Amino acid sequence: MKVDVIHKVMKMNDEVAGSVRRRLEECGMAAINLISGPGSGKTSLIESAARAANGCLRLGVIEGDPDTALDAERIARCEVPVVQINTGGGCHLEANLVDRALDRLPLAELDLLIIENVGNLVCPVEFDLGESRRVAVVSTAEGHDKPAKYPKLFRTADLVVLNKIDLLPHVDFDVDAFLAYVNDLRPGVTVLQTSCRTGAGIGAWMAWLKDTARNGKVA
Amino acid sequence: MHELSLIGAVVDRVLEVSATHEGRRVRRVTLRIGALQQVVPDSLAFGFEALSRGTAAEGAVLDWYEAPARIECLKCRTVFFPESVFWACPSCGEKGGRIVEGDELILESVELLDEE
Repeated sequence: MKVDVIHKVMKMNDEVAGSVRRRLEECGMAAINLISGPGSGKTSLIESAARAANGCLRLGVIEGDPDTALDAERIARCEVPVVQINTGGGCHLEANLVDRALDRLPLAELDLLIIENVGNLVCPVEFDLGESRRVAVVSTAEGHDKPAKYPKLFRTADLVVLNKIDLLPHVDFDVDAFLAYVNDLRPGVTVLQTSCRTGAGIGAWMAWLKDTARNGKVA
Repeated sequence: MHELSLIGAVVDRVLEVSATHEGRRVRRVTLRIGALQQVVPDSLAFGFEALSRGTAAEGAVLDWYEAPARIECLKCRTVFFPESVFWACPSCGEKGGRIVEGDELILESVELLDEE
């Protein structure tokens, strides 16, 4: 006998993501989901934000990696509350992992949660973590064609960050081509160009984070 | 390669269906996979075989079909089938657009073996 089910496979994750959103909303917080390939500078962007925040934006961080607490240790040195999730080989974070990590953060004392996803341009895109906004990060060392090759991330991004712009003189990265790809996939999306080493663009990055903390809360 | 996570959710639901039908063994599971879903069907099959072992779903066939993507142009509202990653509207050329369908991942039906 055939049983019609019509069950959304992502239903469980989406329900938990909704619960995460409600928890954050009750604490008056917003959250961003930082997605990129490995090594594009996600952790450095968080460190830059922590240093620039200077008490006027209270950050909390969830770090996702297959292994080690290396990233969480870096964030902890910035005196920002941080929880490390180790997926043990899992290639993406899911809402239930974020939900459990929230239990270990002082939510009432925070303005903005930054979730650094596992370095991966594909799988994290499919999983709603309860974030208010999603950020796609690409570095100049990765090639300007990444948006075309990984379109779904860029179509779903609320902000695109092009990082490591200090390397532009040394790489064959065509910024105009990159911006054109991004605009074709997500017309009108804001693109920030940053360097965590020189500090270029970090002011704009902070402004966007503060705007998210103020206005990014999901109703 | 998040297919294992997805197929885990499929197997859970399939076994729920089996449990509410006297624990009958599963013959076939049918998925509808939208064209915009980033999954590799062979990886789904591999994961299904692994996760259904020792359950009422062991040995079941995992079937799927692709649902086409349809995009609505944000400028002129034409609904079209995208021909490239950039979703260029065939009427006005505008790129981007809103997904009408094609991003779904649905467990459509479970076929159970008849009682012996």
